[in-house]
Amino acid sequence: MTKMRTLTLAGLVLLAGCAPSYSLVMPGTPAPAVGQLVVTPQTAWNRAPKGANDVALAQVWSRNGPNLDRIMLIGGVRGGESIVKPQSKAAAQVPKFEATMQPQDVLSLVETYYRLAAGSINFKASGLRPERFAGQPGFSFDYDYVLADDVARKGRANGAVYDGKLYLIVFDAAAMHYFDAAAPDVAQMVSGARIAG
Amino acid sequence: MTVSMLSRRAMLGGMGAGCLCCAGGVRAATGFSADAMASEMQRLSPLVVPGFRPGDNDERGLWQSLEKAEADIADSPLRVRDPALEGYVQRLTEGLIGDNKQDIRCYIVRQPVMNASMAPNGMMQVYSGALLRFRDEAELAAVLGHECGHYLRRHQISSWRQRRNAAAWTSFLTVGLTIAGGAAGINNGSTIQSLNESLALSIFQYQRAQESEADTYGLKLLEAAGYQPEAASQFWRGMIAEQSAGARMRGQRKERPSILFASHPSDESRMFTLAAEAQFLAASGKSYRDGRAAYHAALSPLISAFLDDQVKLNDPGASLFIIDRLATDGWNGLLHYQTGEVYRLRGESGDGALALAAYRDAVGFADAPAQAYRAFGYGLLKTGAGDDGKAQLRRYLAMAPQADDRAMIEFTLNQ
Repeated sequence: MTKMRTLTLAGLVLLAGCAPSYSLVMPGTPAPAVGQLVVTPQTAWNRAPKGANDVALAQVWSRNGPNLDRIMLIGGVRGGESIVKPQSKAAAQVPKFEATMQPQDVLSLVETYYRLAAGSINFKASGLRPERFAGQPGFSFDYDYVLADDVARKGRANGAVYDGKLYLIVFDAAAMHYFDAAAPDVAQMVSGARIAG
Repeated sequence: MTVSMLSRRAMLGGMGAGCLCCAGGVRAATGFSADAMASEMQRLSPLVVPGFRPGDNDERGLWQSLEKAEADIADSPLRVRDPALEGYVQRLTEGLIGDNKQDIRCYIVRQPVMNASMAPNGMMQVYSGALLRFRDEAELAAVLGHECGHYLRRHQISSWRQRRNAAAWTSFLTVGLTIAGGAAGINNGSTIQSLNESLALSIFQYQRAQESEADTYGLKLLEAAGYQPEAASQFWRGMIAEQSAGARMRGQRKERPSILFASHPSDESRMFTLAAEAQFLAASGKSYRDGRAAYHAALSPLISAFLDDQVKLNDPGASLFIIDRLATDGWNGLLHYQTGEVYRLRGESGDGALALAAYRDAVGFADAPAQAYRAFGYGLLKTGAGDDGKAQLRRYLAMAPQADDRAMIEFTLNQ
């Protein structure tokens, strides 16, 4: 009986070791690249474990939990690929990225992502503007939305299409406190972002 | 970020809100004989008196929770704050429910899905996605009548009690059987599971019966208010066609949920039953109205926003189906523009050309939204027609001089 208990305990410890968990992203040093995208955070972030819908070239980081603040880094998604895994049985789908996309198209892609994957309803994007990103001509836009919890959220996306691939940082947070609190660090990451050769 | 977040509003389903929901499931064993239908219509009368307030402690507790939920919905950023539209739906509901009209409050909620719900305290929610799909006032009245049927027959409270009792029985039987099994040295796991499944099935069966009753009662109210009784089955026919179109566009088949574990009868079953009952009701030779013009007048200020929400779901089959239906009375700049947006978002081979053609059609109408010129311009740029594309972008800026993406457009123009 004691042997059985020991084995059960060992099994549980092993399972706990396998369970996906957040990992720390230390400030001040370049974080491990997301695909080819390299950023250097100035404060500590927590890298979320891969979700079932996450693609290999995407990572989600948060400081206080993804419902309060969150960035998603997209590190070079190719034409014909999506920023999230397609839902095989759903008629509604996040559009796939295409290399010919204009900034307005990427904005629509991000908007549909928020409407479908996150469940926002009144997503409103504004201020699409040219802005260099990772050393390339890029774009930026802002947005606000609520989810079913009625909490007002704000967001900002920065990105570029380079060599036919999409590089993107989307940042969203609760409009009250959390957006402004994380925005300076995100702005630093955006301005220092680079595409590894 | 979670896919869906639990909110007080989302909990309403578990707190006794009857909803319309499109669902699949059991084909009801409906008797279509005239006598059976006459008898059923006769049997259905209100179980709620005007000015009703709950007397039991448990129902009072439920109402308190619902009042809090209603306050949240009233203040929610997702509420469509359009007094004209909300007033229109409110007046329509009052016309259907008659004596109980002072107990009903209608809210329009911005959600691009087909649904409506009624809580036992008289709080009705109609989703913007539902309003986008009705052909006329009669179809809207059919859905409102269904919700009134739930209210008048007190379905929500009886369903809530049934679920609560089933949960209590489940716990009681689980504990009882575990103790008895333990005493006898028997593992009762499969028995417990089987009992739980039986109770779950009984709940779903109960809910399906309530939905069928609300359908019939709603039809009775619809006819009494002078609307075409066939509007109810016509609405379901449209829903079935839309779901098939959505699935077909993605190379899928229309989803058919589990037969036994469905809270609502299948859409097909509802359509057939309502069609037969409408035929029975309409046999009197009375003349009915569809209220098409009134419905479109009430909806027109918000149709652009509601359609935009639908198209941005990137469900091309359903969106094109809805656009085609809206175009029954004629195409306009908005409908052509949104058709282009459907193809742009779908992004499959050849969709660029389809989108471009739709944008070209859109800007041929004087009422084309400014965004149609922007989309047309970028569409042309993708084909290499730089000068034409830039000309359209300049038209966009001329139409929308305060456009918040002016910097991006000017950047493109300077390329």
